[in-house]
Amino acid sequence: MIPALSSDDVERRLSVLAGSLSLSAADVRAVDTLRTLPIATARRRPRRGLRLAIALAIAVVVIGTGNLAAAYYAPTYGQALAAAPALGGIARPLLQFIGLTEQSAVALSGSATSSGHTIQLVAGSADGLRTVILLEIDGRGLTGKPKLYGTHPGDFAVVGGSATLSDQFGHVYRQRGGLGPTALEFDPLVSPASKVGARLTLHISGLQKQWLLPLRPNAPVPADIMLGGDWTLHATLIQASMHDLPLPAPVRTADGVFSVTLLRLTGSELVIHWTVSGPINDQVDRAFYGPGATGWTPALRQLSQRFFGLQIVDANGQPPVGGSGSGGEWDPGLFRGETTVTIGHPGRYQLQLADALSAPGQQRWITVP
Amino acid sequence: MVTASNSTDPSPDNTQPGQPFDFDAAFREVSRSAFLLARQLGHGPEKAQDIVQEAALSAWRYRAGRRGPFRPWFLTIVYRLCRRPVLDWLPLPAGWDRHVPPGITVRFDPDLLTALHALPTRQRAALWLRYCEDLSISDVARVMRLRESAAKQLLFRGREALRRKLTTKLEENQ
Repeated sequence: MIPALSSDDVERRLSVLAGSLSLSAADVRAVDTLRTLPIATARRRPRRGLRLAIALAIAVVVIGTGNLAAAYYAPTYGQALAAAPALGGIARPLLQFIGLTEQSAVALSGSATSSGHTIQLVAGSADGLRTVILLEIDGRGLTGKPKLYGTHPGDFAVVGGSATLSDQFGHVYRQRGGLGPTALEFDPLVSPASKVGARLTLHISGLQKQWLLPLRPNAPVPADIMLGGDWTLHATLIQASMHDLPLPAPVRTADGVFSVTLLRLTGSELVIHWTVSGPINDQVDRAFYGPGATGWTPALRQLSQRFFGLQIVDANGQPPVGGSGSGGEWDPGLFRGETTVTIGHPGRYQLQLADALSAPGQQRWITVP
Repeated sequence: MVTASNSTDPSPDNTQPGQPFDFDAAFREVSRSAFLLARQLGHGPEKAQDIVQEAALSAWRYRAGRRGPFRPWFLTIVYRLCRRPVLDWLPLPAGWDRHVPPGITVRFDPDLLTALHALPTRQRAALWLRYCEDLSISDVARVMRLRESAAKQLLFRGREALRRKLTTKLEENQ
């Protein structure tokens, strides 16, 4: 006969559970990254009046010192990248993984040495969606098989959250999740740097010895895995042209209103934002926000597949050349979706705002110049 | 039994709104708890990290509107972001139910963790906040946007479900 567990037993066991937790290497990395995240200092901005004064002062200096300063603060003016060396030597699978091509990234140069290790800028890219910096550490990180990087002694990675990027106007760009050990992604450039070109300063304060990362999930992370330092690098990037296309009319049905809210073309990438409002959201609202919320059920999944997905094809019914990524989220009464596709050629493209909207007249056409 | 929340703790967590406040220090103290909460709510390490970062930026942006101690306030933001229904990729992935992805284990009492992970998300979150994060019942209610009575009921149901699962496991092992 097994003695029945009492509620007190359960409470006692629960209260000591946290003390014996063991995290995987990925979890430990994430916690460490979060601990070193400088939220307040990274987000602190000069006051509006101060920013205005700084901008005015910069404007005076630019006008007063003529073309030389203009070329510095506005790289597009000086065509600073006209003689940039061709991009090469970066493993193509890595570029593909990052979502870049040899055409969409520009070669960068410059290096800094600290704590006995050299970080070299190799390439970068800036569009309306993100800013990407690719670098090598001690000459490694971008060549060879990307999956093998980190397995050999000497394979370093930039510690997540240890890199800050700022432009010549003092704007600090937030680092996003790492694209790879030596590929850094930041928020897109903001005006005025996005308009006139950005002279960027990248500061890195920590490297991680990738080869020391334990392979087994629960193995302890060595204490000496981090390496502090002070690497400051400079790069010039000009944001790829970006423009918004005219929005098609919304599709109204008894189930709801399906609207495209943004069509933004950056190079060959098309970003589509769309929303679904109306009664079709009621079931999702009840499942997630109402009393006795059930979360996802098979019926709700089926509903979401029918009503919350956008398809795009060209005039011949073919999907765009590039893979598309889609996501979305619900707020009470409203679904917001986002899709990114790589457009192979200019022309007319058909948008079907949901699987359920297959009737004639429920599709919308857009023209990509 | 779990003691009430540590009201005499001099850490930045206890700083009240309006007082001089080191946001980064307070965030550092709560970041691990926030990350573990996101993990318990069914997100993988990368997603959990993203959620906590997003919560931190939101918290920084709206810090002037904070009511009460930092810790439950911040965990409320994390909980809300975690529970937001998100369509990650299309076509829809098969695993829509957010079971806790592997990665977190315990050195002692693995049956308890397994049983906890098998509970419905809200019960799991309530038990985790109460017993593993040592929040008071009123703070659990605040984080989960419930009345205290509802939080007590949720905790009771969670404990009972856990007790049944553990008893069943014991019987199976006999």
